[in-house]
Amino acid sequence: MEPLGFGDIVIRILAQFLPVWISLVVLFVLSFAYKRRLGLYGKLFDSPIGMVGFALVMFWVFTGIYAGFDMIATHDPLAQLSGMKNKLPGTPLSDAPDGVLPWYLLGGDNLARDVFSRMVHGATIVIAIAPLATLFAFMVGITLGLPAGYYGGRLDTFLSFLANLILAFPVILLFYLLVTPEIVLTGLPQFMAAVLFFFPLIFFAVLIHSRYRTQPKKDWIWLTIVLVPLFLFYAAAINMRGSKIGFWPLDFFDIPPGILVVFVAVVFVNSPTVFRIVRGLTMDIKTRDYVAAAQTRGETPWYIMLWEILPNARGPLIVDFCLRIGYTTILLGTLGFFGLGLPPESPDWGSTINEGRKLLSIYLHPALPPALALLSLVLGLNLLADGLREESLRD
Amino acid sequence: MIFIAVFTSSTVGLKWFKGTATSAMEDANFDNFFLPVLTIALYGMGYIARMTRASMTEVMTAQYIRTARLKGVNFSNIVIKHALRNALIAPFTVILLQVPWLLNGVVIVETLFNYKGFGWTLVQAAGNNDIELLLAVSVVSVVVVLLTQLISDIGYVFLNPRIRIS
Repeated sequence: MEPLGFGDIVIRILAQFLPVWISLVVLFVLSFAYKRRLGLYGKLFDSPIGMVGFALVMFWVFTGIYAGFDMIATHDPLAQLSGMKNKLPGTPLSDAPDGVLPWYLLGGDNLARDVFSRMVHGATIVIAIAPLATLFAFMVGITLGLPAGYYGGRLDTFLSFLANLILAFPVILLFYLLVTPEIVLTGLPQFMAAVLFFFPLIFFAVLIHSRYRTQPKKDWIWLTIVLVPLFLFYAAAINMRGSKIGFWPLDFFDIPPGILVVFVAVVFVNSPTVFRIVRGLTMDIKTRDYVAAAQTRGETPWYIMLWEILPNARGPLIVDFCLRIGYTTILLGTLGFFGLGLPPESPDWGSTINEGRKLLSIYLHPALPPALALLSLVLGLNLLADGLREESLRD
Repeated sequence: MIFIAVFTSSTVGLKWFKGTATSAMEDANFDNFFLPVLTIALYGMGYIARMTRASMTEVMTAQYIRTARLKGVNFSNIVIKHALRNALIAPFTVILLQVPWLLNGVVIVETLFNYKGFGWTLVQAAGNNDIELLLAVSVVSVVVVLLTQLISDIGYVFLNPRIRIS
């Protein structure tokens, strides 16, 4: 079998991504057709920058989803095939098993695994962990930062003290602590998860209640719609049979303990930073006239915080959110770097880049695809953030 | 605008590409110190630039900027005197949050470039069960965090005199 040329490789890779292209086209056609009825999401399609960013992000999201169903990758990301160590892109397999593509499209890495499949499967992990962890960190940061900045005084002193404590606590040491088997046995990561995952519930409950306080009927409907599924998820997420928290009967999924630890640690480390940013912005916006107007109208403090201050702080927050996702992805890789967190053979981008980096001067190809993937995802997020911010500020 | 976006994302990638080990412990000169410093600096630069831009665009749409323009103040004066101070709250927080991160979080870069810095000491202490060293390192980082956060609280009041921190 002949090695593939450059053009062949490109064509075959594009062909492998076929389901992703189809979904992207469908999504864009649908979104364009119903652009005017979709609110902020529809407005995103008015700005070319936002559209490009959205396309880039959705490309990786779809890749992640389909790779989870074994659709895009050409090989098993963990399978090692003999004779493929550090081979260049397009090298044919020596004795290909039936039913798989007889080439390594982007070459093999130092353990003779397919770089392309690893990159595609890495998308699943990155898409699953990084945005969600960042979102949770933001929920925690916002729910604590708003009252700290708004009320000031003792509450602020106490919460800032806590945040400083976590900030001063070395990140790496925290990870070392959390992955220690003795600590895991005491159930500490799960208790931390129980506390940290509870913040979104508080956030949404207060958000809805402060808005519809005067209309009890609507209030109840919205609270039930949002809180019941959230609580089921929450209970199932922290609950695990055979551990410290294992009483909840409706446990329909289990998070693997390794991932839970990483998740908790990332949220824990990121939230004080978000807290500081939200607190600073709140203290600034609190002095504006419209807040004083709302206070005079007799709005409740939480209404002012969540419906007056938070929307006006969204610019920097959206930007920070998107940058933080990229940073979290790298943090995940860093943890693998020190042998913590995700298992070492995990195909996520951070770990793969780290591994490929060691042989960078000799073999460029194993490190390049995940690095480019990460780069395009972060770029897409940045563009999306720009588009979102601009369109949301327009009215 | 796109430039900044590309810039930020490429720094994220860049961090990993300059994989040459340099030992600049004994004599730090331009040659062996350039890359690590550049890596860290680029990362922080992109982040802060984007934060500033985000709050700046918001402030520039405000009424008082229009008033200033109508009064005939020249543009650079508006940006620096009128807008920047109001836009600086978020970037200022981020800048001062970078300091503790630079102390503890740059272990990767230190390991990458084989520079035995603060983060490296910490990882070593944790790995060797060296409790005393660990305590000493923690005390230093606590002092740094408290100082920077104190500065940022004072800075808020300077940036927006109406802010009151009890």
